[in-house]
Amino acid sequence: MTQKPKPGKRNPAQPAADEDLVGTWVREERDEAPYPDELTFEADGIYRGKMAPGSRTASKLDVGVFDRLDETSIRMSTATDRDETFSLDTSADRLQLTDEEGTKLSYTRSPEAGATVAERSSDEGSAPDEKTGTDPAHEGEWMP
Amino acid sequence: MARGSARNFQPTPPPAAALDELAADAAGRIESLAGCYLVRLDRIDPPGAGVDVHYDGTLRVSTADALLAVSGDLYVHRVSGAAGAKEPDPAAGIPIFPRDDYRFYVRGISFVPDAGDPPAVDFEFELHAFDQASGAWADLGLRRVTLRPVADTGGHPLEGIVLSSSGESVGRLRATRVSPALRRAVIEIDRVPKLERPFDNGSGTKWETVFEQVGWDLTVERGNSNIAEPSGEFWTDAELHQTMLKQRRRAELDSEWRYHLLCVRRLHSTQRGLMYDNAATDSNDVPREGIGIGTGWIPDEPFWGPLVGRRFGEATSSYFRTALHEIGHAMGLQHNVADFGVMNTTDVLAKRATQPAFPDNALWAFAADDRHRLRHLPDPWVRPGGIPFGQSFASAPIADEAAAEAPPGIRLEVEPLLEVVPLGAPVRVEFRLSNQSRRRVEGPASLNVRDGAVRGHVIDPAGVARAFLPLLRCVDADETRMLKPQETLSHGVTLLRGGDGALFPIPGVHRIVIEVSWRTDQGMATMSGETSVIVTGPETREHAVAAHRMLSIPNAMLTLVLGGDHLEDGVSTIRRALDCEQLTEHVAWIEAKRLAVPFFDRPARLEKAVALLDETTVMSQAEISRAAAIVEEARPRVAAQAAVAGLADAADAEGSSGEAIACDRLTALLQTKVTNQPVADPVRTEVEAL
Repeated sequence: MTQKPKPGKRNPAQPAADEDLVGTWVREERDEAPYPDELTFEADGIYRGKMAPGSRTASKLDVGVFDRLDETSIRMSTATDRDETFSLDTSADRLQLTDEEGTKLSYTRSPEAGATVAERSSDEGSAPDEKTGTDPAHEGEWMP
Repeated sequence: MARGSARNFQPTPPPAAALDELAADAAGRIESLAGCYLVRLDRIDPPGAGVDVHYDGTLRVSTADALLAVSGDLYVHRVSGAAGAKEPDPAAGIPIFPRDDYRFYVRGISFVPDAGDPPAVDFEFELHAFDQASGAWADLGLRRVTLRPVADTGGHPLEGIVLSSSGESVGRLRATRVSPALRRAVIEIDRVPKLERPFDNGSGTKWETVFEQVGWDLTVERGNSNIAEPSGEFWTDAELHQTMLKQRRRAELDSEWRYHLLCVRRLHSTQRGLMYDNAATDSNDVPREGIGIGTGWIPDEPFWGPLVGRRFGEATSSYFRTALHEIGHAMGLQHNVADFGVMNTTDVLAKRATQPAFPDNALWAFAADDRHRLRHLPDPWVRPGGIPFGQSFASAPIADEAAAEAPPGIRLEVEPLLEVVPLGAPVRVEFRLSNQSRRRVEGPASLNVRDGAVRGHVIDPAGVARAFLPLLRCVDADETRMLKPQETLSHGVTLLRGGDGALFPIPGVHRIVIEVSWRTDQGMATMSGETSVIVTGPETREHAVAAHRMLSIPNAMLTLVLGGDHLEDGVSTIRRALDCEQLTEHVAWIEAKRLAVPFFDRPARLEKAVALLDETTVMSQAEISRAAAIVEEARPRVAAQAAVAGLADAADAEGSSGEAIACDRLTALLQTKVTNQPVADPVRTEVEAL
């Protein structure tokens, strides 16, 4: 029988430094991925993710705990409380996370929390919504 | 309910303190109307196509938390279809309708009973059509109905004719109160043998206790106690999902809202619990049906306090809280750190505990905004098998929280700078919030959109609503201050694009709704005002091309707000519009502002900027104020440059002189503006001081 992998845990003998993570990071990409435009890591192991105002997608990383497993991986609890492990690559002012599907997320360290996400507000709206009522499946229905 | 001179969308009066001010019988009337109504909406005239189709649904009137809010959902009912002529039975309580029949969300705006016994109710609401394919709602506009008691309407004691905003009759609405609760659901709890089931917190708080607070009639079922472990102690998400599909007692989600909770020893994906039923795990494409919780995790880090060294299933309080939390996710709620309520994470409660210490700091209630969501979000958002988890709350309509009535005497007026604008032009809207009472009242500190108190939406001629939010938002939002008697706050907003795309994408009349919110002691006060503009169609091919670019290039809006040279397509779009006869006066200030502000190594180009402007340039008072600030910032620089140039070469002296002339020209232009168009006193003072 195949042994099911168990959730990873940081090896206490090899503590990973979180100091280079703590702070606020602003995402460089602008796409439809459900990842936060701003990500803040707190010293107590809690993170918060924010989407740009008006975003139609909720952040998959909204608030939860993070655990630096080693220098190149981090485990984070997601919006549905699932723990997911991301590959991690940090430098002084850049952070790259790669999720389990291989999606790369690039962040730049923000000098000031709170302001930058709004400046990058998601004004790339979707196409105007179509009103219902014209679908053949709705034939005979009327618009009250 | 506060009514401004402009159209006021403050919904669902009279909440909070206002209830206390009513005569006791009036307050009693409102309380007596709370609950869930079975409603039926019929076409009235003319008969013909669609005559066999009507809409059934529910209307929810809530007065909990001292707030009145109203919402509803309508489902199509084809008399000739599978449901046939059979109508929901009011005696059966809160009805449940098939998910595929969902059509409309009813967003209550006002709900005013008269003094009759039983009372008639003036009900005003927005109707939002739901598109099953995209999961999006479209605002169809306002509807009004006076529901009057009638003796015999087939079991519906309230009835009225629904009118559109233009006064046209669009249907007959009938309503019957069927329950004091708002929604009903079942939670089935299955378990691996001998594991704990989370029925309560060990101190008297049960599922029913928590959900009574949100108006849900919740039934908890002890399900299967003999669930086999498929591959050992740890369960994968897929195993949880498959077990739910095989073992749950019922799966008829079109006639019952059933959420499944499975207690296992350990979870592969997390330690305590999760809502696994979304995305790749959701193999049957029916989202948010089930959750899993684990009893076997043993905390070892000190911040877990009394939980350290104990199996999680034995930590009755925290274990029960985790079950509540995950069911909250299944009902569409996201994490909420507003307080230590149900949707905050257990980690945050443990790590951020002060007094009382963890786990006694847990609040056995959903946070206020989540309570409102559970009562009034559209059915597809909260019911199992509805829309998938992961949309932002901003994407769905919801009856306003009506958390506090705007203080008496506060008025909001909204008007466009120009009533007629060409396609592709930004639309400037001015708004004024005034204290017309004789006493000081609490209001927002600022109407500057960046300060976060102002938002709104635009409804295009086809009825599609698109929201706009602050593009730039300061950190210190939600600040308030006392407004003196007769004091007026004024501001304006330049609209082009919002999160849903271009705000004025087609010719015709567009309604613009501005909402101003601020926090008071009683909660969030909100006032709304409405105005409209007519957008004219393209006059020439050049206009059509320039308008198309303005409407389709997102960075045009960013350039409008942020300026700078870095958004090349945004800058070129504005320049193209500048070259267009129909748009030039509408975008001249946008380009002038960009040029007048330095950008990295590029100095301010005030002369070039001012050369673009003349008396026809369209500028809101906020833009006039910004222009005055630019002149004020430039004057010392120009003076310094002139002084240096006087000692240096003639070319610099000429350049400095040119900038000085530009300052003078812009000053003269602004003075003309404040003479010829209405502006608030502070803006006039700014310009006169130049």
